Amino acid sequence: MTTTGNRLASATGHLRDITQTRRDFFTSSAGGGVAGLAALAGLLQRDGVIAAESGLPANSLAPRAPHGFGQAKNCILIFLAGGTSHLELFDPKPRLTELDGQPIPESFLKGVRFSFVKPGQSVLMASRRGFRKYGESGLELSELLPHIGACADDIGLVRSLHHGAFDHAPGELEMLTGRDQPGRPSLGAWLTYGLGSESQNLPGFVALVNQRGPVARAMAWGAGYLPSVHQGVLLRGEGEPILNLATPEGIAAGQHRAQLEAIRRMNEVNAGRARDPEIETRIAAYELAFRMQTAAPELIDLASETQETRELYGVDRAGQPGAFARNCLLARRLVERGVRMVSLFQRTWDHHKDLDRDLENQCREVDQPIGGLLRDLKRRGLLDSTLVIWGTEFGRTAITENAKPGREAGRDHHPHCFSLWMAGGGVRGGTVVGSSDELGWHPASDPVHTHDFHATVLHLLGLDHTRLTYRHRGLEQRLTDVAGRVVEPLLG
Amino acid sequence: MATFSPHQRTTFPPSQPFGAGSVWHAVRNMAAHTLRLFVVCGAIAGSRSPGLALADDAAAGEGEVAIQRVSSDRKYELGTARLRAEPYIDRKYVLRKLPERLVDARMVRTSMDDDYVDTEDHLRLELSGTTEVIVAVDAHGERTADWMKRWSLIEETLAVDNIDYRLYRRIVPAGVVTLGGNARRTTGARSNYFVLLLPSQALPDIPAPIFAADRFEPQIWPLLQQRCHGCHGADLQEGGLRLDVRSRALQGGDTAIAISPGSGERSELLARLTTDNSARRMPLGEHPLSADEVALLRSWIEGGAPWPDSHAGREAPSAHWAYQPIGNPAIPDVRTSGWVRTPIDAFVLSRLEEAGLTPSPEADRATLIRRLSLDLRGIPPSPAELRAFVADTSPEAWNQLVDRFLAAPEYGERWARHWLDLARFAESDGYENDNPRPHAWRFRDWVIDATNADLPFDQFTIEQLAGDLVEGANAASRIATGFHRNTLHNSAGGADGEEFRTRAVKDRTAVTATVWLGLTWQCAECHTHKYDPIAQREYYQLYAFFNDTDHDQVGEAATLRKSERVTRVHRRGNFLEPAAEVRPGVPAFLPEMKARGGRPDRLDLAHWLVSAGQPLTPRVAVNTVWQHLLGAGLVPTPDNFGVRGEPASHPELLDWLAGEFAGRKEGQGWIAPWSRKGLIRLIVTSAVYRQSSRHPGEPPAVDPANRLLWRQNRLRLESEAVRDLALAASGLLVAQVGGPSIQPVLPRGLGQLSELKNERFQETSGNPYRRGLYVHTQRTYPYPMFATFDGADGNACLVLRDRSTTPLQALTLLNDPAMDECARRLGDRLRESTLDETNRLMLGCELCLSRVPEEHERKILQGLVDDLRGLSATEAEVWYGVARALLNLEETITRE
Repeated sequence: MTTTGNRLASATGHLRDITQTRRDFFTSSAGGGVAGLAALAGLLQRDGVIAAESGLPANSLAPRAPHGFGQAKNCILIFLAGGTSHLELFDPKPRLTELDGQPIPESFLKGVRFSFVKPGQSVLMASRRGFRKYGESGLELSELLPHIGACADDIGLVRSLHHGAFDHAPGELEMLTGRDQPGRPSLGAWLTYGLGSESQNLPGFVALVNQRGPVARAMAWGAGYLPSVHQGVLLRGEGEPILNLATPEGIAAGQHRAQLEAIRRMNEVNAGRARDPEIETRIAAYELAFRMQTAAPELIDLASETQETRELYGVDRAGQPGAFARNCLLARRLVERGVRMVSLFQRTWDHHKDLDRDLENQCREVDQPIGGLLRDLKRRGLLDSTLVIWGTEFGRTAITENAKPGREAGRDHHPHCFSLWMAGGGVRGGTVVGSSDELGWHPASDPVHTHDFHATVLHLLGLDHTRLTYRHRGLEQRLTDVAGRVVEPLLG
Repeated sequence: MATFSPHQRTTFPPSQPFGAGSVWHAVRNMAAHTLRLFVVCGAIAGSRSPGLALADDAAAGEGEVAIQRVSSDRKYELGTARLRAEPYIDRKYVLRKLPERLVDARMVRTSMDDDYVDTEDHLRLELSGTTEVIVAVDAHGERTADWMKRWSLIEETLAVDNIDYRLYRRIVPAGVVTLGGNARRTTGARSNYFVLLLPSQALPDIPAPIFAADRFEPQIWPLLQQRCHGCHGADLQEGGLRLDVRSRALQGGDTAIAISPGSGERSELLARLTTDNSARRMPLGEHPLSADEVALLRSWIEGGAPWPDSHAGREAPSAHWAYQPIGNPAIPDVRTSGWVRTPIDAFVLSRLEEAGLTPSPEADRATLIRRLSLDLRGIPPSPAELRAFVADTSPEAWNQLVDRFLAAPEYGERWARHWLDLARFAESDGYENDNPRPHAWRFRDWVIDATNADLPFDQFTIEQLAGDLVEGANAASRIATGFHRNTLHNSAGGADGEEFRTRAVKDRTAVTATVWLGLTWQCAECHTHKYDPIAQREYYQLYAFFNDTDHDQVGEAATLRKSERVTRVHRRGNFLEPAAEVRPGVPAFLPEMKARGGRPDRLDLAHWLVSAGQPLTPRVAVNTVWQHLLGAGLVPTPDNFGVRGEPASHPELLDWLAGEFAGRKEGQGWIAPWSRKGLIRLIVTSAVYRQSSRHPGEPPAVDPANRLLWRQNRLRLESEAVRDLALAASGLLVAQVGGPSIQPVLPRGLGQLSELKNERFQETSGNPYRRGLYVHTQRTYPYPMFATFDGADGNACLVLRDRSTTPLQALTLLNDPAMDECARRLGDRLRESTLDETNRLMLGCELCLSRVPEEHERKILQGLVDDLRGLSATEAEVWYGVARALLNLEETITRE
């Protein structure tokens, strides 16, 4: 097979040419493209209605009306994979400071499993990091997160999240698909299934990966048993922004257009003969693919962003890798263009050792971009309609993984109680929901299970988690299985 | 001990004394899976039962005792205490010393293996009269179990072999006495207690409160009906609890005993009616019962929970169609008999005529050969095959073509792929590390070979489930067991090995049930199935078949190891909460299993799945084959034949085919028993299969979705077939069957996805022009083209692939390097042929569409050629352009 080499460089040239001929593509044949598109819109609408009423799979991304509440239209999930430490970042524990170096009371170990830690050999470890009260609400967050802290009054913080999956892959799957085993649709797939996409020329669900991606890999944005149209599309960090976006090397734009014309006309002949509505859908898919070829390179070209905006996110910060900041900026550009769900992954948070040092580095990398994203969305009037989530697969243990606390020490995985936050999209800002016990070990009040978290996210996006169903294996499947309740105190 | 048929029962006269010669009566209640033994135990003068809880089909009379329930499911027996009698059912130990007064006492022979049971409700005995109950406990015990604290230690002792036993006693009134478990070996050095029963003249030490049985109907029954039966009745059994049938009510739910006659304390029902926790308080989400109502229920339970026969109820056997024996429907008479080629057509036509519909005309010959070739071989016909068939109008041409395609090695490749979807076949572990499984392809090859050899489906089943246990097991049959080695494995550093082992066993259980029985077995993992008659206990009985086997792969050799693992119900599906032990078994609503030996094993299970009288396997198998040839199953939910599945569109046809397939007909059948080739041949030679797939102007209002099959269905090709077709059309396809998988180039940039040692995905291995079936399946990193076209990723059993239409598919067909190479080669092939321009276009259409273009189509393509030339394209670019357009047509990737 041929290798494509650096196809993008030449492809962008073609794409420019294609843009110029795009009008032709849609208007050249009488009764062709535009009429076809209009017919398609009808088909898609019809699919949408079918989906809403009977739960039949809708094979389209036509926008669909939500169930009628919630104000968020889009969602940006920033998934800091590896397991962000709630004890350092979100949940101050003075008692843990007092007990630094002490063995953990045995009662805490009942029913708790660990990945690496040997409870008998480990001791409690205080956070080496301070907390600050941020904003008018006085929300307590780590001193390592000043930029996020500056948006505290928009943040709803949950300190009592819990589930049972204590390894990375099952934990990610639990948080992203509602079940700790492979095979289920990810949150974004459910959203585009439930809501379609507003974007006319970009996929409805986009995944961005920075450095190392999630260990669940493609399942983190997979469609599971939903039709593959709902699968997230990886916006790639190198090469073409979307896999197979660029026309192969050496095809002149005019030739490409002529071929697409012939494909469309042949398909239309077949549509007239076989009269299968599926053919119209295929014709429309080619038109959307064509628009994507223009829209995706335009999306990733940050030239139109002002210097001030770039600085807000820290895209060009000295000494900092800019990819995460760039992805945060891309996330804004994506929701601006109507993309329903953006999942942003960075897996550098698995701090089994050197917690103190590494956490500071990681926070420095993500704090400004995330804070910048929140502020940018807000000043553009997008925060009300965009739900932003700090997600992770679990928190970390109050005990060290090493024999004694100290700078080199780390913490093990802890899914039994941890924290995440949401902002915008109808979240009540400056709020804390739930609390953990004095060691941050188990929820002490208002426990929030993964299903509750998902029910809440769906609710904020206008979907009733009990009604968003898909028939698979003879059952009406849900993101929240048979459980889940909306966390009301998080709602604005 | 004799076993009696379910309804045979004899009562011994109450005057008969205990002792030798007593006749024992067993009633085996299959539905409840509880062994009930009714034994003459000696009546106590003047004592009357305050209301016995008994089996539905037999009210106990005077002078009987029954073992009502054993939490471990072991079959305790009643015996007689005397020297040299064996007090345990599972050990040869004998009584060596016995106080004189206990000679000839009734004895409950227990299982010594139950020494671990720690429930408070382990053994329930029904006593028809006041009885002295004596629990004999190994004197080595360190302390007594909590439930025994109210029992009195007596001076007498006995001995089993050379071990002394202490005796604890209570005088118990008629009714039910509940004994706890052995409390994790505290009461004996790895031994369990057993029980002696003596009729007593003494007054009961606790006067039994009595609830008159005639109060049940006016006071208790309406309460149960109005407040409980909605969720715990005939239609729904939340938590496995059913309160409208006496036997089921007394059995309890999945995790607790709802009604413990005589004890309010032990009755979960009362606890759940009165708890402050609103998430647990019954009736859930409704106003609680009044204090008076609760008090009434309490006095009923404490008064022995009498439940008269008039309201005992009966668990109706499931009337659901799929669980009934396969019928033997007559082939229907039809009016348009000239259309009928096979019995299939008569069944389908009869439904069409009923609905006032007529079948579509037969598809043209070019469409027919392309359809058959794609369906049977997964590749299009070659131009030579196409022309020959179109020209051959002899009546035998179709059948000969069918036979030729069935005999082609590509047939095995095509149909193996369908099976591999079910087998969740992949070549890596899944989860975080997703390590490669370099020998997984051997199972894939076994499936190809078995399919090509038309290994009968019963053998095919048996070898995959129990190839290690069959007579003459060999390397090949052990490779077949790779079916269940395909489960995922989490080798991450901190993973809990037992967690993922049990998860794999659950997967094997669920996949077996889905693939052969069409049942959503996984629903019963955490609770009794809400819709189908599968109790949680039965889930774990099926699980038990797989729980004692570990799959290993050492180098090239696949091995299965037996372990001594005991299977227990997992409370709420959580492996950390083991409950009662279960033995391997099949659900009660299906035919009984005949095991070869004492304890059924996987081989017994495999034989049972394909045994005569098992109605689901043939129906499910036939339906699966049907859906690959007609686009949808006769049962449109191929993975759910249960109550919540869709009913069959043609139930008689399904049964007729299933009966033929399973060889259940007298005499010569239409299909050799269990021959999948025979089944496929029968279907594709039908007139139903050969109909045109074109949509009419206006679909008939009575059946717009074509469930009645008034036409064939148009189907987008599966991911592998899209690839194979492009390779075949371009002439690149390499027809090498089997062997290690190939690794095509994967795009850079996906390499960020983790430390999967991605370099290895940047290098090809193997010939990249082999069929899609041979593309390496990495569970967390699916081949992008296959993921885009709804391919199987091997993470879960996939019964029905989606056929979605998306923009990314367009981008893939237009721009994917592999597809692009096919387009370039196809262009070369057209350009380098010695044909003139028109005939090159014809050839292109033959290769991609298996037909010659109509005139206006030829003009469009000629227009493309002219346009490209007008854009000063080179000849290579012109024909590449034509090829690229042809490979992107909707029709090209559609099987008409």
